[in-house]
Amino acid sequence: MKILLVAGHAADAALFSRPLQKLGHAVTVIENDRAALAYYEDALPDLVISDAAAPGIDGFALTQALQQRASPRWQPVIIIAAEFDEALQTRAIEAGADAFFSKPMAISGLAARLDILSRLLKIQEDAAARLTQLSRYLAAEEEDLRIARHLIEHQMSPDGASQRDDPAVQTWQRSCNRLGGDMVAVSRAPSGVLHVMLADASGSGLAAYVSLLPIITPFHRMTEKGFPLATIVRELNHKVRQALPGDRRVAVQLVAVDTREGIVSVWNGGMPGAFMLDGFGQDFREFSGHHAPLGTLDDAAFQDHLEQHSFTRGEQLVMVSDGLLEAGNVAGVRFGAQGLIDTLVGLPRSQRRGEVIAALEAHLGDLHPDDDMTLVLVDCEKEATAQTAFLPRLAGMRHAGNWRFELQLDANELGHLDVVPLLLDVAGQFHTMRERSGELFLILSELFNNALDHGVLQLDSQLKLLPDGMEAWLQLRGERLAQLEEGEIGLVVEQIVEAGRAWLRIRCRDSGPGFDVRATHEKLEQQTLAANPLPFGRGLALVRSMAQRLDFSANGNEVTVVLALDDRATPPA
Amino acid sequence: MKTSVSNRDGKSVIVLQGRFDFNAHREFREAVDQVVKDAAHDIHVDLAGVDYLDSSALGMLLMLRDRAKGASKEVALANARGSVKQVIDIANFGKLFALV
Repeated sequence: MKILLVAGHAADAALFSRPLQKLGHAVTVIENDRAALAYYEDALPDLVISDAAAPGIDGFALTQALQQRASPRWQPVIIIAAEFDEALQTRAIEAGADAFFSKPMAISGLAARLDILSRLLKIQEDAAARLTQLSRYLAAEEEDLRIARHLIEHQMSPDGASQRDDPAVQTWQRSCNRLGGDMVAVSRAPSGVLHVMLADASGSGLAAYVSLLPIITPFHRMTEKGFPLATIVRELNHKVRQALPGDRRVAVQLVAVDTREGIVSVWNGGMPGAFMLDGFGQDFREFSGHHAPLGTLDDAAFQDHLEQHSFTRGEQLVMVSDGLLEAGNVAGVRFGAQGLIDTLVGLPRSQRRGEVIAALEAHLGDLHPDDDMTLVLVDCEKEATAQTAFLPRLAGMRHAGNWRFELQLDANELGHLDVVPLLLDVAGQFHTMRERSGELFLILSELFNNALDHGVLQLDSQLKLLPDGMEAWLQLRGERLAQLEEGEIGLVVEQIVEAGRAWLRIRCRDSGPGFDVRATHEKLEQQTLAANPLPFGRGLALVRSMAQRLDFSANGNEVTVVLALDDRATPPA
Repeated sequence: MKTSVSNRDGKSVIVLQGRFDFNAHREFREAVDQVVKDAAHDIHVDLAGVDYLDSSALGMLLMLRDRAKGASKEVALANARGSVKQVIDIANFGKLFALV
């Protein structure tokens, strides 16, 4: 040890320092308090041994001053008095000394005490080292969490705006620590269908949040592209299996609210069941379906079946994470589904969020929740809209698991969008049609191009008959497209079930004036594709020969194509 | 679409890759100009790299056929697969072109 010996008499100093040096210690002798303090601050000795009293030395004051400077560290100090005095010994201990010796004394006793102090110092050093290491870990973790939080928040709203700010959705979250495993994402499909995802990754902190990363972006991107919920959840399961270690799962509840049709669809993998209640806080309807959490099953075993309920006006869907239901009070009683339902009964929509928060706070008291708590309220309000005139529903044609894709493009989008990838996406997303996506894409693109070229842009195919007519046609097409100020094309693809069979119905409508339907029909009946000598007029014939039905509306600006999804075909009227 | 013309086994071959639709009109016409001038008797259109074709592509193939006929050449469609083959079959192009 490095020892500072504060001794007033040179003889005393020599008496102690020599045996201490023999024991292997480095001893520095200082003759008064002031010099001792100055030396102490520079050299930071392991141990200070001081006379209790000598000229220029007050061992007790010195001990106090040393302990002050050393704080919060412990500084071992030994005081040596000229003779034994119990009062002095007490003073020494009170001043912060660790041992008190009086002369004459055996060096062996001092040596034994030094051993003890040395061991204590070692323990103090180890503890300090561990503390430094811990605080380094803590700082590193905080930095990780900061980055994770930024990453997650950025992914939640990839375009900068918070997409959770949807007027139909209210959320409330309370985290158990700085970053929990609960997350809510909200996105709107091009058709206006609202998708809400409540996810709860196993564990908490960084690992839980990182587990959510693989599903956030696909959820938003696929929703924006118009993928149906079942396809999205299948892809999310695939992503979780692909990206996370085999023992990681993500519990998730996905909801699609179709306000035009008045249907809410739910896929629940490992979350508490959602329920819907009416505008008066009555008529609770539970979604009882359960799937395994994302990442549990492989693609073949995965089930994308959605549970559906219809709504009319004023309904609200309630989703919670298990942390909210399991929140325990002082007596260990959980808040529970019943606690939630009791709180909501009879309440109007506007008061529900506030009342649930108040009830939870009253339940928890001063306790901290063990797990993240999340509440999501989604308004379900069926539109009374004229829009549906474009999509006449055939009675009995919709059943659970059916889907519809709708695309509406205005003049600006028609002028600037490359619709081919869009149509390819549409064609590729229908599970039942996967092997036939080429066929579906061809139908979509023929209908779309007809609607655009002839309906919206009013181009005449006769132009193609002139010398260099095709060039002229393409140039005119480009010009009109660039100058397009009004015009609209609507495309609806839906699966329908009729007489126990599945059909695909495709409708394409444009804002153009239409055409002579009868003449076109006659031409279609008469001509065979190969016999057509003209450089145009093949598209509809092609579609006609692939589909089971092809009909035009009376004025020709809407065309409906029906395609059999199985091979046994008599198309629905 | 990517278009290239080469000579293989005494035939002129137009190799197409990507989306064969109206946007490909110019490139395809240039390729047609080239093979019609060429000395070889037969023209092959290699469709192996075509992801899909639409009705205007069918029109373009017919244009090629007309131009070739004028120059006393035969046109064959080669290596159509998947939805491309399906469209060619539906359009009954087997009656107009040799399919190889």
